Amino acid sequence: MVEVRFENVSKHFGKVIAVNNFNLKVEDGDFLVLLGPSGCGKTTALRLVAGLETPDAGNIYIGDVLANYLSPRERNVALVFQSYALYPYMKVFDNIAFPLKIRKFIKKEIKKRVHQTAELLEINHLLDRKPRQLSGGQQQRVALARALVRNPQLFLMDEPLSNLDAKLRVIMRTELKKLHQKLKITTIYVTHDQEEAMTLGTKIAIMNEGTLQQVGSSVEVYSSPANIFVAGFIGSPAMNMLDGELIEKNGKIIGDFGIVSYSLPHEIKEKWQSKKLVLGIRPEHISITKEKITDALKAKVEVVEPLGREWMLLINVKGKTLTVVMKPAEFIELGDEVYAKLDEEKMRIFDKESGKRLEYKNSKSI
Amino acid sequence: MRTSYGLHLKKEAMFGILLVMPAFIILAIVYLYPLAYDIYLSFSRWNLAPPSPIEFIGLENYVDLFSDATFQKVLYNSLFFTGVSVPCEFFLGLALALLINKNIKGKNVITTILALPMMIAPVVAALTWRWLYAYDYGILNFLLNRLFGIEPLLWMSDINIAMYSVIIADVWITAPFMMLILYAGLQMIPTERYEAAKVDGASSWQMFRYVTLPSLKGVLLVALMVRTIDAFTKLFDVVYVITGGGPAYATEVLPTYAYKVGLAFFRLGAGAAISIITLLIAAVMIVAILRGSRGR
Amino acid sequence: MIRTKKFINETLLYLAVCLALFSVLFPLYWMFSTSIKPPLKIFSIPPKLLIEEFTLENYQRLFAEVPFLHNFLNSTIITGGALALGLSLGSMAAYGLSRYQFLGSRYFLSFIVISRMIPYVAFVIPIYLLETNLNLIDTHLGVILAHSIFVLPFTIWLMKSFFDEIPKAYEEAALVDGCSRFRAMFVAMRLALPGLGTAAILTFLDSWNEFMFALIITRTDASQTVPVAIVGQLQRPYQVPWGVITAGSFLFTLPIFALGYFIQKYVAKSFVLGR
Repeated sequence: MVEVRFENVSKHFGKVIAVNNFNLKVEDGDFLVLLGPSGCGKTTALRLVAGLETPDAGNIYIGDVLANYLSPRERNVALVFQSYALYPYMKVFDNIAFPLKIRKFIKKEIKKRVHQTAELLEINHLLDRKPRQLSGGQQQRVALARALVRNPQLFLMDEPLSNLDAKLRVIMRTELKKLHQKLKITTIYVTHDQEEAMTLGTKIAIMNEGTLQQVGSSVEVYSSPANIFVAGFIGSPAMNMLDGELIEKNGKIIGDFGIVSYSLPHEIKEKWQSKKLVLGIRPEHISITKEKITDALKAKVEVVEPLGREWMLLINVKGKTLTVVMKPAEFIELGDEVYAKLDEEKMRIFDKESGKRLEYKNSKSI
Repeated sequence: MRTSYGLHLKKEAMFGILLVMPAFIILAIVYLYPLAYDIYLSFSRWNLAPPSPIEFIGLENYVDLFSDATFQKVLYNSLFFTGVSVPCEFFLGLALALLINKNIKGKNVITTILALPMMIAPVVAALTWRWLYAYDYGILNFLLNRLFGIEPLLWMSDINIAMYSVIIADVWITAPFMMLILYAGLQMIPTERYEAAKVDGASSWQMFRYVTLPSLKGVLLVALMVRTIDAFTKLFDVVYVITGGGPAYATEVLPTYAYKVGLAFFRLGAGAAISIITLLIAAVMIVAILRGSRGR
Repeated sequence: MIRTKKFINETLLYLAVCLALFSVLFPLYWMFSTSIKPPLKIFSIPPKLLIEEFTLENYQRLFAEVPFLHNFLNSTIITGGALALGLSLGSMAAYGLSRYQFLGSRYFLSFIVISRMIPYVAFVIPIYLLETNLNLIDTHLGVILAHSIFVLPFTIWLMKSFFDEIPKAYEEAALVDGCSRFRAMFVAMRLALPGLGTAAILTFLDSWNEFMFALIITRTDASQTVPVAIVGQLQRPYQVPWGVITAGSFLFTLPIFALGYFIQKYVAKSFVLGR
């Protein structure tokens, strides 16, 4: 069990900068999820920890040890690949035993450990088979077993669930979570699926274009996104974004977003000097009523998607389309005229140029 | 900090270099060095019968060779052989490939049998044909006489026939190679193309001309280029065994002549020059074929 | 009408196949039948088409006079050695070229591709001189090294394309599992075994059947291969011993027939790769 530190780490491949001045601390026992779209550098960051890549600048610490030029073997980390990379010509037992065999464990010990790990992952009955005879889920467990069998100090996973069908993915997610709670091994998990990240991680580190966007718990990144990217990436359906301007009127600061305006505290102007703003409001923070209530906006329902547990609507407010998520509402039909109220406490204001979220006293965080 | 990263990266590359080193060393000794030495020899005069010291003479070997009537004949022979045997191999190979492409019973067995000539040693094939070509003991003359009433031929000693005897034997050996390559190429043509042509109303001949041939072009080109170079530069065993280059250099080709001049007559410089000329002409052929194909 | 046309087509097809098979099998049959004919019958005029009586006399003479066993052993040692050397060094080098980029790797690669176009005659005189200086004339090693001229580049070329197809994930998994870089290479080798098999079969044929270099380098039974030995029989005074020659040819070809099944599988595959 060990902590991992990235200090100003950069890595490039030719002209492409994969990881840019990356700083991150993973505490002992964390389940840290590296989240981001393809090409954001998360896999590169993981491979840097594994020792499959060397950083061009900066330092990587595993525990107290500077790991930059340690071979993978010396780092005692385990890596579960997206493709599992099971040796196709070995039986399952031998696949799992391989790391122990390399380190010259005695046969008895190997047998004991392999069986222990196989039991933990409920694949005892598969030990005699070859990888190609196993289903995707079973292969995945074998890959996990191979990683766990030598009690690594660090557990790395590169999108291990992406090759599984949706239902299996959900099941395996819970299994992984339970496993982590039981074994408490420091884990770094890479994925592009934000739902996966939200359910699995004790901590989520969001990356985009090689740079760290935000680190925090799932609640934090959801309610207090650090910038427009995070706000738009986390949460499905995505947060509604409205462009706006900062206007001074009669000594008051007002954010004008076209369809709606809000008065904002003076510190916004003083602290941030922003001119262009973006208003973000999540689909579930817009309430729809048939009758007009205070501050509600007139809207026309353009699309209705009944999704069972909740309904998703697309409404048109003065030319702008907003996504709304609400409890099943049979009283609403396509083409209806309704009233939409945006929850002021839950909306977030961003500076358009830097993308950063503007924090001010009245913004309710968590 | 920079230095330590540099070292680490170098360690990785070192391993790669280490892996390649042994093979490279061997190749340097048996390939690169001899080749370079051959080029050097071609610019020298070094005769060993009677032994005399080596001396540098520049292009004299080349000039002498090109003005020598025997060399001209040999060069002509090589070109003639290549020009006749390669198209023969190609057409035969294509015909055979088309043949086995159809679903006939025992296709695999038939293909294996048809592939035999290229798997046995060329000298074995050449000996077989030499025995077939024997004037009075040979079965070929016997069968031709009994079946077709043809008078026995001096397959190996008749100046006018000898080259064709060599060509026949070589085509027998290499047509299967063409067959397999073209067969593989045929296999890669998706059946939909034929079906589309059929629906469009194409006849068998038209399908061959507008579907089969164009689809084979890539494979064909590679095969043709390889075979042309091989026919021009690697014909040795068959000639050596069947005719020894005779009669009167009627079947002498560049590779056998280079060997003869260099290691039988022991005129090492001249022999080397012949081999280099072969190499250069082969290079020109490659370029010509590549250019020609691009034009199409 | 269509049925008759189809019938004619089919008959023509079968006739063509029969003609092709006959062209291939008859010379081989003739060679074999000569080897089991009593010497007098071999040289009968006119030649006898069918086998009327057979004898093992030619084979006995083969082992007594040639001496065939020695030559066969030489061929085996030389081909075995050429393969062992070429396949091991070649696949290692191919792996290095596939996984690493270093100074000169691109040049080496281009060299490998071009090398097969260079006529082997160009090597004949220098190799003869080189091996005379190194006292390798008439030795097994001498011929093995000469065969490396074509075994090594071909193996490297073939194996590199195989290694390029194998995902690096397996080696990376092995590294993370604790393998040294060297051990991880063997994981890739294990996965590239089919390629090695193909290379082995094709280079086996090239080395086993090779004549020109063996001719130059060997002098006596100490190292002479079967091809050189039986072609040498053509120089015998008086009558050329065709019975012995065909007997030797047949025995020499037997291993190839034996491997025929495997060759059929692998050669077909290799031609798709484009030899």
